[in-house]
Amino acid sequence: MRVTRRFWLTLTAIGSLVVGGGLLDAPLLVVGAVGLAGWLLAMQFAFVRGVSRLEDELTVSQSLDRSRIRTGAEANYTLAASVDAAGDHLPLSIEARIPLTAQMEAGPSPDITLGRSMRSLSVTLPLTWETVGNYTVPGATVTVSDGTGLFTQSFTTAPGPEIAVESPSVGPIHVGQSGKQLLRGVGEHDARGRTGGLSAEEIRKYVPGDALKYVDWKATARLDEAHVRNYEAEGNRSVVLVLDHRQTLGDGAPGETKLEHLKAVAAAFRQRAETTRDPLGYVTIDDAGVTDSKVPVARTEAYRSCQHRINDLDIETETPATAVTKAAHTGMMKGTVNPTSDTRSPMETTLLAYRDAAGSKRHLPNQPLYNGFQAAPHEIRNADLLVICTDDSNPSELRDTVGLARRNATEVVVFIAPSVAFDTDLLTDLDTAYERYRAFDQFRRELNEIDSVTAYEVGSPDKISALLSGSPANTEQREYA
Amino acid sequence: MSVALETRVRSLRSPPTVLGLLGIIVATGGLVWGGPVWLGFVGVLLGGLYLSGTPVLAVVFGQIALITVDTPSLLPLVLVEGGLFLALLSVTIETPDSRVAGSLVALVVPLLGSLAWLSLWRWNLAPLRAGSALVIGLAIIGYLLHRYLLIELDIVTEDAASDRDFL
Repeated sequence: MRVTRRFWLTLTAIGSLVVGGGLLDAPLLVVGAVGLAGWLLAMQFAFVRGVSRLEDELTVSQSLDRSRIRTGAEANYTLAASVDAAGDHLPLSIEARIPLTAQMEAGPSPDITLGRSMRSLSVTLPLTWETVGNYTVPGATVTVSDGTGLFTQSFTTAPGPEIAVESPSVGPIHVGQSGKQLLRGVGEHDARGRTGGLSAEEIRKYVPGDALKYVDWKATARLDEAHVRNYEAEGNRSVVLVLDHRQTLGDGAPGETKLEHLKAVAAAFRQRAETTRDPLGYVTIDDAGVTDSKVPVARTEAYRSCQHRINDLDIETETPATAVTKAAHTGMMKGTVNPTSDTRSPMETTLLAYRDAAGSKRHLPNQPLYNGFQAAPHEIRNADLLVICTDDSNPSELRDTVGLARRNATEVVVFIAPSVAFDTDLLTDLDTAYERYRAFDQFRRELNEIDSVTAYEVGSPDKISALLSGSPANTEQREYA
Repeated sequence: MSVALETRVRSLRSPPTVLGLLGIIVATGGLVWGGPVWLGFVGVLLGGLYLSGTPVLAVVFGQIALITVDTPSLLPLVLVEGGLFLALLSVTIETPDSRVAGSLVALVVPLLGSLAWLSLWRWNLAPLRAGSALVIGLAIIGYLLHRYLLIELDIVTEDAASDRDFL
């Protein structure tokens, strides 16, 4: 209970009467002081009783019209209060404590004042959430005052609703192969885990993105149209996201960079993993090497941690040479030469393949993605599903990495942001751009042909359409199909 | 808080105000009856204080005005004290739980006043000592009420040692 300035003035008056009565030897002043003190005590008792009753009769509710939102978007917040009392109640005000990350528009403030005869009131206002994360609206503060202005009392209600604020979307994203949009949802994957078995679920029409090994040839022959057999996993399988956030991933218009597109894809996989309770882990790699990693676990904290990591992922402005130096140093110590794929002779390629197959570890210079993945913990490298999100700026490194990943993981899905689709001057020379896209697609197909590896392109639908429009006969989509 | 500072000017037509003004008039009548006529102007002051929302000050000044009367006889004394009591009682009627608050004031104020009267005139205690003892006793009860409310609202626990911030 808080006393007000009026209370202290009353107390001062009582004290003055007592002291005055003593000094002036005037008992009547003391009688008056005691009477006033008794009045004050009676008022306090009435206030305490009123607040105790009000706490039982008061219902305060806070709500948000959305539980998930993207940064910069608005969610309507409602604060409502009602008093279930037979007669009048003590006047009260309720003030919501909006999290600092939420911005309020000019307009109604998040508070309610209920007069002594008012039964219920509510206020709704839009909140704009600025920072990514999970937030809980704290309990509202109820302040009750007595009718005479002598006492106030504040208490807090139960916490309000929770909201998950996510990073803004980059808009429509093209995920597909050879210009054809992937019709399955990003993040949906075939159940081929090592643990648990598979059970046939249904036969459905083939859509681009389905693996050929799941085509049901008998059904296809019977129905004269490609059909696949769907399987349902009988056990969970571990998913690991390999997220590349090197300098080259910063290409593209602000807010629509390669990294932003790949982050959206990674977020979809994370969400899918959380829905199916698949163990989820991740590795993030920049120019210096591994920046963060988490082995796959199926815990709520792990999914949340992964989402935060995806959201926070950014292009490093500096390029530390630690990993490169280390890699080079290791290579020198072993006395070996590690040429890149581009400079390898057929003999070197063959020999290196044998060496890789034997399981010996090697560090390749200027290949942080490969080196980082190789240095990752065993649980990450041996995931059931490995999702690599990167670009095509270093095809040989990506080829090596996918090869390495394939040796350990059950299935590898590669999402590649083609550099040509993120050039800002794409439209100046469409012919050249189309040729570059063809080269990229050839590379993607090479990866796709590796057993248990599926490679997709990721980019803006408009840019991909613009690229395809640069084909000589403008019939590339049919050709590529 | 602003609640404490805002002026509570009274409406002349509301029943509590009428009751309070009636008490002020009665108290003024008692003052004029037992003392000099100029105490009638004190009545105007008391009425102004009451109407401006400070009934406590009206009671305090009424009590001070009473001691200017050398030896008030019983009837003027009863009139003044009764009138000031009505002024205090009118304040309680304005609270939401007016029945409880009014009953409490009607019970506690005369009871404590009588106790003070007894201690001063019957038991011949020194006014300062008797007044201090009574006010301190009431303050302790007030503190206990404060603690009770905090526990009732789950703001503190019954273990006072762990809630020193609220002591």
